[in-house]
Amino acid sequence: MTPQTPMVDKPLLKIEDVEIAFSSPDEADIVAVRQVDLTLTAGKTLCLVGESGCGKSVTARAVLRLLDQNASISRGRILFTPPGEETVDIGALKSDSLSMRAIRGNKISMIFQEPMSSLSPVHTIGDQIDEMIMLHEDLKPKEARERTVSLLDQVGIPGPRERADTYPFQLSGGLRQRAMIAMALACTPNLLIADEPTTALDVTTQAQILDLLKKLQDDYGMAMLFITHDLGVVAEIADEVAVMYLGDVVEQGDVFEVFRAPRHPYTQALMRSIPTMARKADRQRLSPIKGTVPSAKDRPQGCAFTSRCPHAFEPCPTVRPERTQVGEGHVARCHLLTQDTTRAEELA
Amino acid sequence: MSALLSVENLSKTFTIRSGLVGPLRTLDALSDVSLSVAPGETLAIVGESGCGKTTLGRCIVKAMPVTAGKVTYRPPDHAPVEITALDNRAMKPWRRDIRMIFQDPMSSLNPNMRVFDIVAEPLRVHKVARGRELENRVADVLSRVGISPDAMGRYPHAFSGGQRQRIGIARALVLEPKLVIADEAVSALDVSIQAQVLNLLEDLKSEFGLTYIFVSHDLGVVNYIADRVVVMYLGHVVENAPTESLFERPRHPYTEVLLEALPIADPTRRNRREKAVRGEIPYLGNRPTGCPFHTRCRHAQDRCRSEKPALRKVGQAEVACHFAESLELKGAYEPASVTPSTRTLA
Ligand SMILES: Nc1ncnc2c1ncn2[C@@H]1O[C@H](COP(=O)(O)OP(=O)(O)OP(=O)(O)O)[C@@H](O)[C@H]1O
Ligand SMILES: Nc1ncnc2c1ncn2[C@@H]1O[C@H](COP(=O)(O)OP(=O)(O)OP(=O)(O)O)[C@@H](O)[C@H]1O
Ligand code: SF4
Ligand SMILES: [Mg+2]
Ligand SMILES: [Mg+2]
Repeated sequence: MTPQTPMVDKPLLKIEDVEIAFSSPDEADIVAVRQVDLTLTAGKTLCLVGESGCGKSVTARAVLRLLDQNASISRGRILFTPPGEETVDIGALKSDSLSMRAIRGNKISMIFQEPMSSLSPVHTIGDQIDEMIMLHEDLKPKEARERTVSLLDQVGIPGPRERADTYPFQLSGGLRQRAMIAMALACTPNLLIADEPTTALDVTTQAQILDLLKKLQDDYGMAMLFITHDLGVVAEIADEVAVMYLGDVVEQGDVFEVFRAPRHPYTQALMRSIPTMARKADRQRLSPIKGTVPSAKDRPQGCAFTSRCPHAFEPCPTVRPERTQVGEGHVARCHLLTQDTTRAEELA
Repeated sequence: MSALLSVENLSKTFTIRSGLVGPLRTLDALSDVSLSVAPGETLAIVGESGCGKTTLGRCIVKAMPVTAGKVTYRPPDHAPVEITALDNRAMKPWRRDIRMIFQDPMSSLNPNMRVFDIVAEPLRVHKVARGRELENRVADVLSRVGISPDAMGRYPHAFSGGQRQRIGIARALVLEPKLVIADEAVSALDVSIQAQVLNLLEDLKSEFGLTYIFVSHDLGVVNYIADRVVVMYLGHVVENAPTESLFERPRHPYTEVLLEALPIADPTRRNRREKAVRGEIPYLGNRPTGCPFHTRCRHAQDRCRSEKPALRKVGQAEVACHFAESLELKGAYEPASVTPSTRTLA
């Protein structure tokens, strides 16, 4: 018998203190993502939520090194540890390097909000999936097509063999999104990144796609990084939630915990802005967060939420709050949680 | 009160080629759609993806010709205008009154124009403002939708999805229209900015008596903002009812399915969908005979497969289902004490 060293389970993906900046010819650099820390466990779903423009898509693209030309990862590490393999720092790879190409589409793949923008309009969906498979695996076209047909079948596309010969524009939004998912799953990735995959879909199609993703996740044991702004969707599928505001991850924790007891003032405010399913008489005017999101260049040095936070006090504008453990696997960054024990009750 | 806008028996047929070289075929995106919206009312339109909501909006603003039927606009101080009978030039003055917020901001915003010019364009085209005043109006409307005027010099690609959506909203509102057709206008926004935009729409409604046709697949938002809801399926109106009665007691089986699929922002209530949504939406090119919904309906009987139900009055609603009177369908409201709204946070 071979002696087994106890394996310390490394998270599948660990994003540490990442900053991403955009340069522009006629403006100063924009630090779109200032401080992102995220941990993703194999086989689990992490939902990333946060206000529009806070850097969710940019973060997701950074993990695949698919950022625009004028963007750079200016700080931090993106540690990826596929099961049974060495850890790689994706942040340090060149985006067109061999190692990055071996990861992208193969170990980590992505589905986008608008499938039309990532499917080619001039090739059949079958050809596109075949090609994806053959890029990463040594298969003959016939074998690849067999795999494609079974993938299309798995994602619930009726008549998969015939449907493989159709063009994206001939499919409804829901079927197109399924085809996109089939393509993303072609190489049984360890991590699937889904950027608002159901935002363009109606609720019934959305419900079907969410059920499908959950089932595929069980079948393949893959982890998902799921970006959405729909807290209903989060409640439905997340194991964990991370909340971003203006380029910073301000809170991450178990979904039940975060919904039951959100600890960062931004998360709390977000939860209060959800329109509820109430009768007219019980309906209240929505209470959005006061003020507007500053632009990245006016972001306070300290906590990014300072300018809109009802609890802000002395250290907030200037000192970056520490990551504070607030419960089992639940962390948040807010001065109230560390600095002032009497005021911490405000957030309890 | 007479309607601000009415749509009568509107049909729209597209001719498409199946495949790149295949034969031509027709696709009925809208079949005999009738509805009206009263001044100051918010009418929501909901339904599956591909059921014709955007097509309906585009026909109303004359972004595309209709195949049959008519659209009539009744301006407050002017004789009724039959929009469908106007040519482009005669339509121009009414384009100021009726604005559409387009669904896909990326394809509706010109990528080569700076945001300032995108929003200023309608003011220039209709010669409403220029110089300082124009600048102020653009900056004002942008900040009302939460876009910092600092960013006015950027091009659309340098904004996030939700920011682009708000630029589209600003562009529609800058002319202070009477009727706004908002096509999925808040669907890419996070809840807080969504709340801000919804409040803005409500404020404009009370300030200027704006009327909305609000297309959305988010039923939470629809419940919040709409006075009345039209449910569409495969190009047909299947139910048209006051919001509260529709959410309390839907009358059409498809409406029930929609309400059931609505995700609720409370993880302790996940997996509450008992009956999975069945089947795919049929392709419009081969529309089922009889009731368009029968292929997916849990209540379908033989009659549904052959005879098409007409829209008729049932209680406060208009419904197109053979069994609308007898079906006991489930609504979306919870008994008063357990609505998520009573959940207090912090
Ligand atoms: N090419 C670019 N040049 C300059 N700024 C950019 C560029 N691309 C994105 N940004 C900025 O980066 C920020 C983050 O954008 P990102 O697309 O990640 O937002 P998001 O969180 O996905 O928002 P949404 O929910 O609206 O999709 C935005 O403020 C955006 O303006
Ligand atoms: N220009 C066009 N040519 C051919 N078919 C079209 C055209 N525009 C729309 N269609 C078809 O008409 C039907 C209705 O489309 P429409 O965009 O109105 O749907 P929708 O209800 O807005 O859907 P979604 O919720 O996905 O936006 C769809 O089947 C669509 O494929
Ligand atoms: S008419 Fe029949 S098929 Fe159509 S919705 Fe009613 S019960 Fe269902
Ligand atoms: Mg995004
Ligand atoms: Mg549409």
